[in-house]
Amino acid sequence: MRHPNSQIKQIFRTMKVTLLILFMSIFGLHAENVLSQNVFVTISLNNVPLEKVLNTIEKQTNYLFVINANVNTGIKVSVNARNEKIQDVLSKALKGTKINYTVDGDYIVLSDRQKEDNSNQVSDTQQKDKIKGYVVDENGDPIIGVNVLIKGTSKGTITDLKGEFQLEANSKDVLLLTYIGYQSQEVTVGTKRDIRIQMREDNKALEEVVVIGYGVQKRVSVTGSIAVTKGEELTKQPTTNVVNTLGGRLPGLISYQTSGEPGYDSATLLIRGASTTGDSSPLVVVDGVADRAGSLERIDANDIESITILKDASAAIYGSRAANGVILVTTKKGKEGKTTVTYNGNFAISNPAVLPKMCHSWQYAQLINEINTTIQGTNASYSDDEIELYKNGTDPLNYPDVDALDYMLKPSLQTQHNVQVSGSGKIVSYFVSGGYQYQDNYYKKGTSDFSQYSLRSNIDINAHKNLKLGVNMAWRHIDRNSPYYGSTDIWRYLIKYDPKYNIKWPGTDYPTLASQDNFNPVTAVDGSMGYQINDGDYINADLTANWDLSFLTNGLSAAGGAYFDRTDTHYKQFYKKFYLYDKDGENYTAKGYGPSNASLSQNMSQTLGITFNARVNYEKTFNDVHALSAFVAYEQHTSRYDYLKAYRQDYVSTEVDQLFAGSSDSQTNDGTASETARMNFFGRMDYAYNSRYMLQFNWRYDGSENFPKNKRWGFFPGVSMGWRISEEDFWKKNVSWMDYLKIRASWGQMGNDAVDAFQYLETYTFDNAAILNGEAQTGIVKEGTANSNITWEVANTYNVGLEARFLTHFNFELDIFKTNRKKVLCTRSAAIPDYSGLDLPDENIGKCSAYGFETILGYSNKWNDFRLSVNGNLSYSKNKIDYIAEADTYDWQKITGNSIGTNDDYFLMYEATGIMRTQEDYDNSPHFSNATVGDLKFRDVNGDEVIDADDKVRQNKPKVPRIMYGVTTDLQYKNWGLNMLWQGTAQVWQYTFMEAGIIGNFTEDFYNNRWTADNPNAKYPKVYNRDYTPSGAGDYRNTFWLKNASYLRLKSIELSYTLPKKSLGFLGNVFSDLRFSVAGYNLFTFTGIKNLDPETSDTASGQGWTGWSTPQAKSISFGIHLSL
Amino acid sequence: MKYNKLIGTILCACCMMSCNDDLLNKTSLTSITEDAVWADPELIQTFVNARYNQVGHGWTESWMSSCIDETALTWSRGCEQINLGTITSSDIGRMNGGWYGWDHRAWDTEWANIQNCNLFFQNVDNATFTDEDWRTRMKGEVRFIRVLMYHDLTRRWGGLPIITDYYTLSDEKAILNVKRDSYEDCVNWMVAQLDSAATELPGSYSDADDNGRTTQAAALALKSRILLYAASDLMNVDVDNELVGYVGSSETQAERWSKAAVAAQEAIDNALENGFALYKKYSDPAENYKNIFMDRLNSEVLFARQGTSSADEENLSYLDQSNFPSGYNGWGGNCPMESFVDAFECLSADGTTATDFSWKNFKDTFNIAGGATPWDHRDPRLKATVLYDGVAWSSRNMELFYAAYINGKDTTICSTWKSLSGVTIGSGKDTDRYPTNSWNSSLTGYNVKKFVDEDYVSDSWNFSARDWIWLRLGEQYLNLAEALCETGDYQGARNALDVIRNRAGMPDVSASMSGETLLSKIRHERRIELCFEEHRYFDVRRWKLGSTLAAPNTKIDIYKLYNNDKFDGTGNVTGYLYLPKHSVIETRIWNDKLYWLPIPYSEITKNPNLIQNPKY
Repeated sequence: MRHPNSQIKQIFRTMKVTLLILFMSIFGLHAENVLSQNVFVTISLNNVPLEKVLNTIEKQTNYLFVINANVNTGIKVSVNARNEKIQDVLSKALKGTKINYTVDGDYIVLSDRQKEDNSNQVSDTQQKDKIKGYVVDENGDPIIGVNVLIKGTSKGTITDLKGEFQLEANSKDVLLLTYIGYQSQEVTVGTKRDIRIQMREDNKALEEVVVIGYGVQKRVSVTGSIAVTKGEELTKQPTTNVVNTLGGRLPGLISYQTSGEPGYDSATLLIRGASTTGDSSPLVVVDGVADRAGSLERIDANDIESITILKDASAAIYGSRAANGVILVTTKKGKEGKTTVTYNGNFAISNPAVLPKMCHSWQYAQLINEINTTIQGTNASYSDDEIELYKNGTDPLNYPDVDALDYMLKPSLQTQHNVQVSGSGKIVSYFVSGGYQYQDNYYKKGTSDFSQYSLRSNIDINAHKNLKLGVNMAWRHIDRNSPYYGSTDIWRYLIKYDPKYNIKWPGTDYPTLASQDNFNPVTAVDGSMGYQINDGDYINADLTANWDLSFLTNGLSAAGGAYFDRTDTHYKQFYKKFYLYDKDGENYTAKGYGPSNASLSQNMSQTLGITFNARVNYEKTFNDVHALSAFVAYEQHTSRYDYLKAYRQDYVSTEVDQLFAGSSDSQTNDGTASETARMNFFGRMDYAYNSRYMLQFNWRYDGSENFPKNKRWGFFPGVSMGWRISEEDFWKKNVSWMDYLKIRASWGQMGNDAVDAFQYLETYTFDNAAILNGEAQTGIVKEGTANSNITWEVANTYNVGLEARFLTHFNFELDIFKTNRKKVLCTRSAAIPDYSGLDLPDENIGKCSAYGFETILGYSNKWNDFRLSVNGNLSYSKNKIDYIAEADTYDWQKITGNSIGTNDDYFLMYEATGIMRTQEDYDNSPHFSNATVGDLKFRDVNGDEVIDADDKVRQNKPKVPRIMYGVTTDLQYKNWGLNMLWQGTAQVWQYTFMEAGIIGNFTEDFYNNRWTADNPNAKYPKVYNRDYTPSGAGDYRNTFWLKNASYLRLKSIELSYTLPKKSLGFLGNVFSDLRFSVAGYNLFTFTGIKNLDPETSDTASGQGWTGWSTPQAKSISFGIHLSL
Repeated sequence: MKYNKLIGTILCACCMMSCNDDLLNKTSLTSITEDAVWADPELIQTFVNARYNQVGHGWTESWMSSCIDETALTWSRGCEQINLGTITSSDIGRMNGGWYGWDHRAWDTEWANIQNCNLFFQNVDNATFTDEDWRTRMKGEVRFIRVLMYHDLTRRWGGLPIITDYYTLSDEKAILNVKRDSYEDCVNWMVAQLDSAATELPGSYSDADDNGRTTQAAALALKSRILLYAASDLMNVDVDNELVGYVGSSETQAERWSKAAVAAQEAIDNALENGFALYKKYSDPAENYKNIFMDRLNSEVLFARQGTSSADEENLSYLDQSNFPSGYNGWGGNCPMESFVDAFECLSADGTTATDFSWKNFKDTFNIAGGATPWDHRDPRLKATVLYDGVAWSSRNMELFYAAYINGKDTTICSTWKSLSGVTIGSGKDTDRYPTNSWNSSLTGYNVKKFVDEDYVSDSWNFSARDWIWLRLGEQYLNLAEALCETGDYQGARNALDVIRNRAGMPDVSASMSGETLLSKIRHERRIELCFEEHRYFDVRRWKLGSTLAAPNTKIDIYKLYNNDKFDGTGNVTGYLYLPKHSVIETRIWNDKLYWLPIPYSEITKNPNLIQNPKY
């Protein structure tokens, strides 16, 4: 006999599966009337549980079974029918049972007449009255299938198609109404015999369970500052790199993406900005293991269940790696219920989001003339006649006007496919997913692209009644192809391409000598110079076990796992001779360029990481009000890295691009290896009193091999508290408009040990070979000066937060934080002169701090067929270098007191105060001797009437945004859905000076708005010549070009349509869900930055050139989603 | 109970792990411990080898010659601080180590090498050597390199602290108590160290693998140069600061010149005894001169920082790529200045008479095609040093001209540039009007040839091996000539000077030449013979001739006149129009503070005992 409770669960389970479909039907199918007489079913099942028959019918038809609580769907039945009417089939199946069915619209209600009769009899003896009830939702619409139970008994029923139920109960009975997605409700019967009950929708977010470090927690119980996003949100954004979908979704996460090159386009992620001058990257944990092979980058977004970021003391459980915050990625598991097969695919077309418009050839010729005459003091290169020839285009051979960007670029293609199978049985539940991604670059006939194959299998096994095993395997192969030239070179030359020269000789397929450095865009991208391949394989293989020890004492369990991470990388660079063509009269002659002989460089690396952990959990609630849970755990990690490199040149033929084919005389090789280890103990204790007062204590005792033996171990605690004010009686009585309010506070002390290992040892390594008699002879060098006191950075992080839900539809959250970072590693360069010859080690002497806030405001509501939710979030984080052991220098050049990121010399710039617009202005302003009228005017900071390096001022204007915000809007109408993410930043700066001059082209914007004697009130200074003129690059970097790069973007927009099952015809029997979508990515960008993407960055050279990176994509994608 | 046992096992396992953190005792897989290094003579030898590696060279993108009146740099690379005088103690520019490309020549890198030499001396006597000569020889090698670093520092900054202790992190106090030693003390210390090194080092090495290690001759040659500098006017005339010259010294300047002469003679004698000789492999003096720098490990080289080809990792920067002419897809970096090119003497057809060059010899600066160019019949070293219009280079002749398509116009009307207006202008391949790399075209109308490998394929980055020569025998003859001339031994001076001139295919100077005339002839010879080798920058300063550097830096324009009106370059060439000094590309300035570099600002703020150099 089955226990009544489990029977109810069973119904619930059935309901869950059908709920989704039901939900959709409400919008799409409800209005349609079905002629049940026309529905036919084919079925052949013998001696199977009734449930199975019902499932089969549901699959073949649009009918949904609503099953009364008293129906035993486990009874065995047999039915054989071939294309018979549904009524006949049901009659057959239910023959010999006491179960009745009634058909109403799309629903078939099953009830057990006998049991109802029985219960009636019982109730008679207890003088029960028959009561009628009517259950509606907030809009007054009936709710079907609500479980109604008399509290404390097993008696109950469910509401029918009209939302009505009948039950025998006495006046003191309390009815407990439960329904998925709605708040449970208790109603005392009283004297009424006809009760109208309105159920309120669950605030799903409150019931939601979120992933935290080494565990999960109910959202309402969370006392730390965390933010969560769901995988399904991320898949709405049509981009192959999941890292680039996070910006604007998670309050507290700062992201910026500087390149759109396929395979190399990951945004930089920071939690609450940088708060150290050292490594500020957050710890990434995938399925419970930190720093995994492959990390977060490029996990198929379809595989992701959720991403959580831990921003405050909640990260302390990750100890010496927690100070920069933690990103927790959880992949999907097998879902309860029947097997589902899902396919998601999309196809996208991308163009650069922002491209500068460069000058026409005649404009550029004019600018060159201006450089000649006003800067170089030579004659103009181009006569008016020639400029006219460029302009009128009558001689395209000698006087062309080439738009290299237009000539070389095309829309790029991108496709993604993912198939998932998920399900659950008594013993095994599983999630299996395979994915493929492909992304092309923007180049016509280019060899640059990215592809990825991935496979994931997450399997949970109930091995024994107390023992659960998990086997997770994930493999990912990424394949990045690029031309020999790196993308910065390609974009540099494309942007500054000299429009006065043809790329190919007109009417031929011969690339010309182009204009600069032999850079012909065609050969630069088509592989004729050679190529680069950058491959990687990432494997995560986990075995976990969970052992219920409640037979020892209630609430006790143990868990453990072994996690293996394998990374293999492979890089290959082939460089060969290529040909450009010279035109001599009517003849074209090929000229070889590049190496006289081809060369091949190849390297491979392997990394193996092994992690073990074990833990003991205890969880119990005492006296119904004291909820306690705690665990202690041990973890250890070791890894090993090996690297091998080989090189050969002098390839006789470039047909064979393998090492063996090169000359063995030229071969070289190289290799190295390293090992790491960590071990630690950690734990957590949660205590809650009556779900009202909550206390959490996280800790980790962490040992890291990076430090000397006596400095290796450290203790990192995190404490947080929460108070659900809204649970207090006084609140419940007085504040009805706000049904949820929690305040919380936390403090944690965490570490950052991301430093080079073994800095505490005096060691030597082979390097710096002497060249004697023309040959290298081994040298040995001391590896820096040892610092036997080296240890981790320490962060003290404080956070207070507030969460509220009010007026039914709103939710609000606010977090305010402050973090003080000490023991930041920096060298004592301010104290120790260079003549000491000391290679100064890192010492724990720096100090940084940061403060800021995050806030969320959300609104969601529905009106009939409309459903709307809008969520906005804003993050602000400002940091400061409090001490960095810098050399004493002028106050205006000091690093101390400025933001992290501005400590680079790059941020020392002249302060432009305007343009020397007139001769008089020029005469009266101190300037460089090579400056002329029309150049920028610099502030003479020290007042010595001379502009020199002493007048440079450190600019507190970092490249990392201090403010980041996002607004997501989700609108559903019937079968239509519209989802948008607007995302933006503020308080961020970009250096916008573009390389131009004799070396290459200017933007048309510059041409139109430059200073000339005729246009003295121009926006830009006079024409410049790369870094020779005191304008904006190299030594002459100045604030004129340092612009506010705030932006607002329509990061993603998705319009989707779910096909009504009806319209699918026979396919409706196959697909349970079929949805089409059109999505856009980066469709609109609003920014003050001209010509360039506001997120792009100037090159690392520190010269100040910008625009050398592959622009981000602006895409339109078409997607299909279907489930079986 | 079965379960209790299991739990017990797990807990025990946890405890065991907690008691033992051996897991964390990882070590670097690529390192050797300090004790092991200093116990093993073989490893000590590798440490000495690394000192050679840390000796720098002069071939970054910006040569030192672009900070003096030899070349001008096509791009901005930290030379303005000297040429335009914008130098400050916080912005020393290229003279504190070359820009773009490593050279180990900055204040900090040279001090780091010195400190490593001190580390060697602190440890070398503790090891057990079976061959004591080996230890002695290595001491001599390291001693030489340490002085070479001091020499390179003191010639730029003047007297500096003489540091022979090896510091560690705990020596902060001692480090900050350091004071600058006087220029005189530095010279005396360097000379004494070189004398010791000369006794420790062999005259030559029998094993070819040691070819390039320092020798007695190298030590003596460096000593000769240090004493030559020490005797010069900058350090002796009107000096009031002991950090940058002699104040109240017991020796006179004349005595210092004598010491310099003796040292130069001693260096020459020792070199010749040990098999070194002036390079004279070729009969063509231009070919000969070129190959002093291309023919590696030749007999003239006393000490060089050797490099490898680019296939190996110790290639000395990318001087071919950065100096190849623009039309060959090079970057045309360091461009010989007009004043420098014009300084090469004219040589009569029979090679017996040399006269100064003058543009006046090119009548109206218009030259009929087929006639001699301004660069014909000059000091043969010009051809080995400078690429000028029309000279053969790599696959073709240099094209540093603009083409003027005069189409039948009377060439006489084209005798001046102004009369060319209205004529279609084209371009030779190496100028700024040619499509390829116009922005890398020569600033001055000339490109460099000395050191550059003609066989280099542009943009291939396949560089042949070359060595940066720090000391060569040729310099020693000129040191000797100058020192003897200053001491009044004109005969000896002329003899030494003529050795170098004759090797270059130039005739003897007049046998009666003496005094200032002879001195300026010797100085001129240094300018030509030792150009781009980082002598001129220091020579002009020690001679106190800085003010001669304040001059416009000009460009020559050359028009090649074609008798047609097309761009196809096929018409008859009727002649050339030379327009020397046609445009001013920059006007260099001089300020007396430029005689010495400023001590870096950050060093002085850390240790105020370091007194700043004059005028900063």
